[in-house]
Amino acid sequence: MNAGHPTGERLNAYLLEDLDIAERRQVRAHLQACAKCRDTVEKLEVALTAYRDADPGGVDDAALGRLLIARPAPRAPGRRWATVAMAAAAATVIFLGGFWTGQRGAARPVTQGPMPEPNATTDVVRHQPDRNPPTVTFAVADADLLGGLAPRDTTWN
Amino acid sequence: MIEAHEADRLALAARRGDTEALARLYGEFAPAVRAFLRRFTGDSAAADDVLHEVFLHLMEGRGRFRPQGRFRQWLFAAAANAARDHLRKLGNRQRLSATLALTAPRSAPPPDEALAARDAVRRVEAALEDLPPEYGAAFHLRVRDGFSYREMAAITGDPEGTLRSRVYHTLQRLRDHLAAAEARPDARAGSEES
Repeated sequence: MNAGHPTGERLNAYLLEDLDIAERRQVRAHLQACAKCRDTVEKLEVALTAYRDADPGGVDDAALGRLLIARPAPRAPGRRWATVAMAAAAATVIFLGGFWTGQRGAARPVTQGPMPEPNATTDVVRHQPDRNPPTVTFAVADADLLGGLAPRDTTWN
Repeated sequence: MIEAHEADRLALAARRGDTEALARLYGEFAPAVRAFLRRFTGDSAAADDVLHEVFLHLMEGRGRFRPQGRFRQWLFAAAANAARDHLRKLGNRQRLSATLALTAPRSAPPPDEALAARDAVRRVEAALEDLPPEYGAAFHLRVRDGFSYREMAAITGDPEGTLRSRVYHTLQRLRDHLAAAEARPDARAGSEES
């Protein structure tokens, strides 16, 4: 308080309804007795009420139309689970592919000696995963699905 | 007016692709969100772009939303985030030219009252003009949209104390502005002519 008048901050709090009941009653009692403060508060109240009640302005009808055109296709029920299942399958294949490759490396250490002559029937089959790892095929195929899933909140629904 | 829980229900339906639900939400909330965005960005075109983005965001089912009767708060928070991103992309946190159109009061009062209301709104706009957008946005959320400081903190990500300080500072600016206008005898006549 300053010379009996509420501070500017207290009057602001009164106008913004930030005071508790006792404080509010105190300020109101002062306003009844003080024409100067009452005048200040009334002018601000008029301005705040006008600002609060002013028409926000409409939105362009075409804006809703543009929004509906831009909307994504509705998601079919269960599509998210299908996507998750596919992603899990891809992850499993990647893991198993890596594990298998690791096993292959461990089963043929470099200290074993000279390489045996290639066997036309068995070695081609045995080397196939190294030349064409399954991880590449699955990771690329599911990139879009994972990308579409990533920004979404999987805990929702 | 759509009740809070009805808004939640409509939001869930809109996220599943229900266009009717989306249209109802848009009709109810888009004008207020757009007014907030105009205050936040200081630019009507930017407000339109961000508004579009926010509702698109809603339809695509992005963002965490739990129906707890708080769809309105969620929507304003999404709008605030999108507006911040927009301003960041512009690389300009300065207020753009304030192009807010002066608007008529909602209930079409008699001409004298309408004139007085327009004049009052004009004075508020003038007081907000030189303040940073964050101040105007906080003031708008509190005075115009009636959010509590806690809700405002959830919407903007700023601390409650900071938001309260911004609102008070803006109100103080308005009070100074009104006092200065009072001291200029020609000010009121001039504003009424325009």
